Amino acid sequence: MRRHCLKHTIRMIAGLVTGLLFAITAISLNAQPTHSAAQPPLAWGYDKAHEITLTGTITAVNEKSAGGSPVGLHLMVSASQGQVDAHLGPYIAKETIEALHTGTPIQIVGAMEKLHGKEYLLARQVIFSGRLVQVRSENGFLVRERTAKSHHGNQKSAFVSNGGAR
Amino acid sequence: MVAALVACSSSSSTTKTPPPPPPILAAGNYVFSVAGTDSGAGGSSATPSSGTSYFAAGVITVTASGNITGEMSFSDWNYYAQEPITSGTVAVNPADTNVLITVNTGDANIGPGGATGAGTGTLVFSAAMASSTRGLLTEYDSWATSVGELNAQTSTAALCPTAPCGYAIYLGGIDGANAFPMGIGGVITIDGASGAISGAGSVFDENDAGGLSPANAVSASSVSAPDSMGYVTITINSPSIAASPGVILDGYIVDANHIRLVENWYTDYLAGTTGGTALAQTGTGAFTTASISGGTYVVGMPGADPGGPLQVAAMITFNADGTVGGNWSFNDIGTQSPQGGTTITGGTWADDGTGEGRVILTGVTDGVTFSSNLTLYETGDGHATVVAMDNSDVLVGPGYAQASSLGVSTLTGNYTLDVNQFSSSVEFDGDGQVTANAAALSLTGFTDQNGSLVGAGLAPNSPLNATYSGSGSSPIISITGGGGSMFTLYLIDGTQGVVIENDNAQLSLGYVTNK
Repeated sequence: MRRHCLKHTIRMIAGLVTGLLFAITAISLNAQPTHSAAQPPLAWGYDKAHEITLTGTITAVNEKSAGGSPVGLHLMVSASQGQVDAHLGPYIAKETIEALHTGTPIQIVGAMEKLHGKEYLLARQVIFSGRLVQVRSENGFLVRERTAKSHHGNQKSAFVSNGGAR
Repeated sequence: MVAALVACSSSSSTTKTPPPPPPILAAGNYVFSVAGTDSGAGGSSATPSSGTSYFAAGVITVTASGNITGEMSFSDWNYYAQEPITSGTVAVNPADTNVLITVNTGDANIGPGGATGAGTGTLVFSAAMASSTRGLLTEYDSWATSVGELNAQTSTAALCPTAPCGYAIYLGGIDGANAFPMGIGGVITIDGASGAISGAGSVFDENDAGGLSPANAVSASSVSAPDSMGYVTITINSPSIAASPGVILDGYIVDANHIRLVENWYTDYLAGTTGGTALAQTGTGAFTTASISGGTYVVGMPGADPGGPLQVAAMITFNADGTVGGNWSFNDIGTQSPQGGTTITGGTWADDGTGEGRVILTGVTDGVTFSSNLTLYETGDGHATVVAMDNSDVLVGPGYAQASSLGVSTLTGNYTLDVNQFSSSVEFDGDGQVTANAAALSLTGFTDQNGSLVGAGLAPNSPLNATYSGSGSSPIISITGGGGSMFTLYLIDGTQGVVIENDNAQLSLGYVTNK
């Protein structure tokens, strides 16, 4: 399914508490929409034909996304293009997040997309401090960082009748 | 949906209308299947595993005293097992009228503590019973959350006593290479003796994170004889899969028409963490354009796009002139359809001409907010499976032929529901019972919520209140909670429907069926 980009800006009604509401669980009985769904949905996807490579310095690491923005980790990056909001998503491992600091040089490969009138760099690949982190697939799907495999399942586990760990 | 509806009503003087008490499970065999997210399995204290998508299915034998034994399959990214259920219990949730089903495998790799290999081996499911033989499930423990279904088992007989027998299948989950979202749909036809599959009349389509592999042929494959509890292994080979066995599915027979599936990535070459269902076809090999022309199917499809989890509910009409009509709602939190969905204004469909019941939908769109390519597989008895086949999302799920003459007054009486939800891309789920008051256009009831993975724990008997509206001649019903949360319900017929949330508070995709 492809969402088409709409060029006009949608007025945001989201309040400052939106991020906090999202941070709290929706089961907290406080989940409410942050804008009228009568507004036409804005479009976004991953434009792999127009990927860019951004080189800059991290100016902020935001683990809690603001309401109306893509969920998960955002890096604010100062680059020659100006300040860029890079979206890394909700699946970045804690150890990776802890290694991202303000002032750290970083290179990000990704594609720019507009959501609710704001530009985001949807990061596909992030390189910093000698590390390469795969964030998205070539079509833009988020990678869920996984635990290192304890062992490959060529040998059946002794724990169960039929099965084992990867 | 549930949480939001609850949220919208919690400050008022809530009056719950408890539906009639459901029956607790009678002695016999039941098949369960769930899909969700766990907290990690198969790890060790030195290398704890992390949570991933997971699937479980199995058969339980319930005794008259409410004790359980059985067997089940479990699969997540880290761990797979097909193993006995050594004990368990059935009891009514003391907080409400849902049924709590506890299954214990003794497997230290699953259940609370499974991430470090010190698990309890125990899973708990809440069943909202629609009848004495069918319940909607939400996992109800601190280790994982999931949704699914429980069905009384009516057959453990070998599949396909008289060949050929086609099965429309769907599998959703994550791939084995990168844990990318993956969906598979297809038709598998048993056309030989003793479960032999030659490949004739079989085909499958795969969408692996937008990488498409359509119309894959099937080579010599097989379905095993069932064990005493109706467990079979389905082996699917294909020239498109570099080695054999290509795909191995653990199947649990519910009845002659339904098999619950969990992939055995431990042994197969596909190596995905996937699960789904196989639905028997009526009229195998004889499907034509006329089989679906003029019909409408309601679909509910969970999945993913570049923003994270994505949910779609829709009613898709296969117009006789080859165009597609209907109505579509999607939500990925970043963007969503308005309440009531949007009208499908473009797209074409075509039967693939093989007789397999495989229908290709191209360019399904409202002309403004989305477009999608889908492949649908007919069963011939009013059901279908569906997979998205475009490179910007992965969606897979069941479809249901829609009845005619539906309207807002159709929604009346007592229902059960389960809802698959996400908050900030983290899953939480719920199931419960609700009464629709057609005169007042109101919904009241309760749900048991599992917010363990979002830090909210288990919340039993959460009150549910909402209002609804719609046309007397439209199967699309708008449901609104008091705080402004918005949902769209697509009626399938007079007894069931698919519901989706249409705001950016959270994702909710649910199924509702009457009692």
